[in-house]
Amino acid sequence: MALLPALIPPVSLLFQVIGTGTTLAVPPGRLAELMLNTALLTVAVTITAVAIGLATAWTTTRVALPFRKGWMTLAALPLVVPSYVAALSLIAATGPSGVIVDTPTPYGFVGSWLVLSVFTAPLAHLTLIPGLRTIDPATEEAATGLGASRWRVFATVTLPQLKPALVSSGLLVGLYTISDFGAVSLLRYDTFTRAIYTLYRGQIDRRPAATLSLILMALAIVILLVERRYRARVPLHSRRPRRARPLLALSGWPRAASISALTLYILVALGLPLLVMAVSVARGLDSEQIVGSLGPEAVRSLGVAIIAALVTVVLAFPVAMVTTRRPGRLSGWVESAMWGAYSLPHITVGVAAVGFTLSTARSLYQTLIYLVIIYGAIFLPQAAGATQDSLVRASPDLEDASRGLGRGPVATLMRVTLPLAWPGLVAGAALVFLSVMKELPATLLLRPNGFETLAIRIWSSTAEGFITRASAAGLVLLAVSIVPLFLVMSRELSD
Amino acid sequence: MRKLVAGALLVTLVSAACGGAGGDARPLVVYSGRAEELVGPLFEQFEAESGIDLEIRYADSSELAATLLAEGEETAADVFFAQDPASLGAAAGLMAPLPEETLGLVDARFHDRDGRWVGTSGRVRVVVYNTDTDLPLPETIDDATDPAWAGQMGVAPTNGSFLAFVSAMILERGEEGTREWLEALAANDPVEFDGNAPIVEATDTGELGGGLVNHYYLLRLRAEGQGDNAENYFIPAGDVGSLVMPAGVGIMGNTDSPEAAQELVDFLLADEAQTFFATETFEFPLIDGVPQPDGVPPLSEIDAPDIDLSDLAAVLDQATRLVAEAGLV
Repeated sequence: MALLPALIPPVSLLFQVIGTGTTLAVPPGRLAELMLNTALLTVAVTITAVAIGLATAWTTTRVALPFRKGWMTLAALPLVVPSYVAALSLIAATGPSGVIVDTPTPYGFVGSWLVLSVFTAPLAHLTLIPGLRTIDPATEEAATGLGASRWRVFATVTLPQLKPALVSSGLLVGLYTISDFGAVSLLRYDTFTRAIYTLYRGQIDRRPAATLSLILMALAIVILLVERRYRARVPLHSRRPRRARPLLALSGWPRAASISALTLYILVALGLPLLVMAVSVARGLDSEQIVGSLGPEAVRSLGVAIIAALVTVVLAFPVAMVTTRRPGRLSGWVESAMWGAYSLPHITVGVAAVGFTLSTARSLYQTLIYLVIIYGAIFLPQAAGATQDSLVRASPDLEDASRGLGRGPVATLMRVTLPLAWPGLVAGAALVFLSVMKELPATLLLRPNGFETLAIRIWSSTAEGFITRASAAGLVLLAVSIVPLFLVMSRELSD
Repeated sequence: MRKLVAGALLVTLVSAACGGAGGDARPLVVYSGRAEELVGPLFEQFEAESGIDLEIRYADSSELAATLLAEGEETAADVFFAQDPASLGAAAGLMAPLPEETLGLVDARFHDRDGRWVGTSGRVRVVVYNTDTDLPLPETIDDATDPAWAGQMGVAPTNGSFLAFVSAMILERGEEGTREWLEALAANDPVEFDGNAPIVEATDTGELGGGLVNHYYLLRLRAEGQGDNAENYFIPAGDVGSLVMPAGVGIMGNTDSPEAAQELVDFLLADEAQTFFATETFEFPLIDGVPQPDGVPPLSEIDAPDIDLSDLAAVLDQATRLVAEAGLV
């Protein structure tokens, strides 16, 4: 049941292609080139983004830093920056009139890789935090007690225990990279998704774009099947009661190094877009440009993102339960469908979802409810990934014990399973919230008339050259995202 | 946490309710492929003057055309306002013919052959160039692929305006001629952008020698306090290099408020709105007696090609295919 929304985009895409036939508008040689470009970027971004996310997650959960919760929140925030805004920041920061450096803008692979790595790292950061928190401190302490160095403990004890969360992070980053349009289009790197957007926008015949989308989804499912084949199935749950872990008190250069590394990341991922947007707003106000009211847009974005985060988490919980507690053929299908929808370009999801509602659920067409359902369909893996990790770490023995003590299934779920999954659910909600705040293509296609969000405002102002207004909307997007994010993360995610 | 959630629910429901228009009567639904930044104030003016409430769906013109085709006869839209003749043409099958006196307000070049849409403002393809450059300004659109411009010419091959321009070229010189031009362009190391605005910005900063864009982006950049190092150049050859593409409007055939829809169309073609286009969006007004925007030659002096824009939509898919085959996307 929980998976039904996630099935809408892939299944209606499939029916669309079956119904109208396939046609390739792109020559096969070009297709191979696009495929290779996409694969290169995906692998490169996945490695660097997960490494960055691991570093920020470890530092902000394990090290006694001043303003630790603040750092933890800030390191998640770059996810809310739409990728075309991130790319615009890189373009504005470099080049002949660069705000920061006068080196040529790294267009193509390098630029896309940099931008996507920096701005998708929070997907790994947030997914890894619950894992880092719930690893039983005893194993690490035992290793330290046996004389292993800090690095050795990290490499041989911590990392292997984080493997499921690392795999989820890698999939979240990699499949997002496959579906991204904003960064690659502004930085001129030809990928599959860029071709799909071009075909949707430039052609009245939607078959070529649908056909390409289907190939892309097949590619994502192949990646997933390979991952499943090699997935380790080791029990990661501890039988001891969980206890709090003392924070690592660093001093001297390790402390200075970790604080500077975090600061550098925040400066690049948040400081740079902030600076570029602030400069544009200042220059525009100087030329008497009018920003206009952005209040209604901010309220709509916040409201719909919070609701979508909650709905998605509610959908993700049963999915995570099935895939962790009952691994098998069914859960394989569940995961494939879920990740397949996630890897699709959002414009494809939007078009497929429009087709579905027009043909079978007309009364839901262009309603807020349907928009939220489709957000759930797209972002389900973000919520499920972190939740799966928390559940893998929680021993099913606890649930058995609860039932053995006479509690019913509902009571067990509420009193035992839910608290165990809580950190994962919270991290997942934060991920979905940030992703929905910046979502554009599906929102444009599915929203009710007049429901303009901040992301829509940024996009249309940018496209029409209203630089001041676009930048102001970008600043508002960052400003309003930080408050609920900080509230949730500081209360629920940092002990 | 609970308060946060409850607040979000309340606020979203309220804003969703306010997102459409208030009032008792069913509002007139407009699908607008022209951005709120550009035409939002104009719609507000119309609501204030006519007392008719509008419910507006803003999105990309071609996306809205495809949406209309998907919705078919059941569409809730009463009026389709788009930024290019290709999108209008694609949805023209769902539109009702406009009265003669409406069509007669504009030159016959700027309305549909069968009268289903009418142009509301003119947009002209130009070469924007950096004023410090000594690159040869193209005499014809074929000069735009001159080797001197290698690595210096900005294009937005995925943008609707560029695709409409390529469609017009297909009408002008056929598939083979267009393919040759696109291959010559692709072989000359063009610099690809996602849209027109960044091409004009890059030309202004000197990153580019110039680019193929629509005329108003430079005027827009100047309004933002930039754009002093760039200039618009209108190719004087009477070819598609100076294509005039009207933004336009049509009334959906199944509308249940044809009078209100007609009132909106009339409003867009009256002095007030036409002056708004000239002064606020820097486009060419299409009715007589309204002053031109500053900084551009009169529309009558632009050497536009002689093609029927009603045929543009029919070759749009072909244009996208040719652009893809030339390796530009």
